[in-house]
This record gives sequence, C-alpha cells and structure tokens, in this order.
Amino acid sequence: MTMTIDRRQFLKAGAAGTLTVGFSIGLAAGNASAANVPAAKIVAKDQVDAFLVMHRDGRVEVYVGKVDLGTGTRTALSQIAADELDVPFNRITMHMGDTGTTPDQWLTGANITIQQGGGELRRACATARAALLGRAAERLKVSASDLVASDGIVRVRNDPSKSVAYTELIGGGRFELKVNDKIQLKPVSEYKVIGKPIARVDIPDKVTGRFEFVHDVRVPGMLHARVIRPDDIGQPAGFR
Amino acid sequence: MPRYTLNVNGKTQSVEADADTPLLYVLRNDLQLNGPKFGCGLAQCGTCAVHLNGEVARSCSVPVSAVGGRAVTTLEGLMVDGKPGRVQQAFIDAQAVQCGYCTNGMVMATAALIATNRNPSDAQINDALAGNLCRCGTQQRICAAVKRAAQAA
Repeated sequence: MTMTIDRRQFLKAGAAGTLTVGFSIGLAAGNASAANVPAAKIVAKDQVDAFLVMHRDGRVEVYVGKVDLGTGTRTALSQIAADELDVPFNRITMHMGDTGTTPDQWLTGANITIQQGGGELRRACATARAALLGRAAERLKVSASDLVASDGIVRVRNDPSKSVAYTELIGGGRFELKVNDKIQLKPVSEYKVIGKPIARVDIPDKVTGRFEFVHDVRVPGMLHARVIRPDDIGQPAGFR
Repeated sequence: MPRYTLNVNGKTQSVEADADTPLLYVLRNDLQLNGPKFGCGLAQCGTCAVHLNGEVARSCSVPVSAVGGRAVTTLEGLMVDGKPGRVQQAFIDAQAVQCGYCTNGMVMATAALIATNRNPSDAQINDALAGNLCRCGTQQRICAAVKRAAQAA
C-alpha cells in the first residue's frame, strides 16, 4: 500500500467501500509478530497446525482467533494450552486475532472467548498431546497408556528413567492432523495451571505505557480523521 | 505555529503546536508517549493524568501554552533504569489491572499521594483516587496496590 495518499483521497476511497481494506493493511503492517510467521501458516480451524507451532527449542506458539479486550484472556488461554499440552506456562507465546495467521474462531465478545474459543483450543492441544504421546510410545516401545507427560517431558509411568522430550518428537514441525472433537480431555483433577493463581502476562506493559491499545497503534504515513456532526438538521455531515 | 520548549521526563523537548493544543495531544502525538490516555477529554475520568512539578494534572485539559517551565512527568517517567518503578511494581504485585485503560491515572495519582504521605489511610487513598474512574471494578486491588507502594516507599 502506498503511503503517499493524502487524507482526502483516503476518505474518498473509503466512501467507495475500500476503507476497511486500507485499514486492515495498515494494521498488518504495524504487527511486528506477523513478519516472523512463515507465509504458509495454516489457519483452517479443523487443523491442529492452525492453533499450534511447537519449536525444537521448547517454545510453543499458540494461535487463537480471539483478542484480549482487557479481561485477561491472553493469560487464561495460555493456561488452557499449557495444561492441555503439558508444557510449562512460560514457554508459550500467544498470538491473538490476526486473521492472516490465526484460525477464524468467530467474534470476540458475549463471554464466549473461554467457553467456545478456549474449548476449541483445548481440543486442538489435546489432539496434539495425544499425537506426541503416540510418537513417544513408539520411541520408548511401550503403550501410550503407560505414559505420563509433564513440563514437555514424556515418561513411562512405572519407570520414570525412561523418558523423551516433546522437542525430540516434533520431527518436521507440523502435526498435519485434524482436530479430534471427541478427544479425551485432561480431567479437572489433573489441572496444574488452570485454576491456579498466575500473574497476568499483560500487566507489566500496562503499568509502564508499553502496552499497545488500538489508540496507540502507529503505522508509517498514518492518517487521522474525525466525524463532524452537523449542528442542525439539514446541514451537511461528513469527514474532515 | 508557535514552538514550545517542554521539560518531559527530564528531557528538553521542542514541539510546534497551536497554543490551545492539549498537553495530552503533544505528549501522545508529537512525543509518542503512550502512557497518558485520552478518555473523556473533559478532565473527568483521570486517565490522561501526568505530573506537573510533582502534582497531578489532567493533560487533556492543560493547553500546551500553559505548561511553561514546569517539569512534566508521564507514566514512562516513573520507570527506573527501564524497569517498573516502585508504584508500577506495586500494581504488578497486587495484580491491580484489568483492561488497563485507567491504569495510567491510577498510578500517577498514587505516586503523587505517597510522595507526601507514606502511610495513607483508606479514606485518604479513596480521596486521592476519587477522580480516577475504573469501570472494570479493580478498585479494591488498586487500594491494595497503593498500600503496597506506600509501604515500599
């Protein structure tokens, strides 16, 4: 997108129906994290790879099609992923609401981020965890039901000296698996992260002015507009 | 447009602005300081708060031409060596934030309060922060954060 158009041209384009297009391009350009994502990031909601990218150094990138409007869902969804995957909470990087790289999980609002969005994330993570346990069973030559996972390490239940890390099981990186909607989820009694007090990940930036609210987004050549409301009925309205 | 020389967070800054431009706009748009927020624009919500010579001021309603030589301190200016300052750390420790939009004003009001009162009572805290509105409902935690900050002082 050229950054040389002036405000009047931009608003004329907006009147012709392209304003939202220009806006979304502008936001994408300001999203530093988007630049590091491979072009072929899978976003189809029925694919595990839409939700998860696990790295060989232990980092886990989680992608959700929700945004944190200030209620702390960045932290809460990270807790869900950490528990259902059995990885340490602090290894998770959460990417939210970037339609180019995250699955489309419908709107954010109406208290559905955790119950609907979190449920979808949970099933994707549980599918991934089951796949990793399956690979571990092959590697350790035991049945998957004899394995337990914790902090990214899979161990044989009755012989904890036999273990393998998720990082050794990732292989080519992608899962290439459909999310199993009937997957066995971790029982509540086994939660280690969910339901425990945990510091919100966004607070340090919010108390220091570093957090980027929508009002704080700046992109090169950004233009500003405001709606001018007429003083009386019959006067012209519009942008300025 | 006239040019103004401001002392912001210990640095001398020169900005070109109309005389009636709110200090908030100069801080955010010209100096790219995102700490102070635009809330109501009428000095009623408190989220635009800064310090002028250590006293809380509503930057949305202070024209840049009225600042003069007073020292402007923003949320960014409370940091110490790039890390959260005492009040900011107390807000982190007390988890006294939900959406975080009022946080700037809460932190600035707290910093001004404990600068002169190391042991504020509940009534004094309520009084000092009464002009700062939080719609998320974090007031109880904010009061706890103020006490933590005062004790750490």
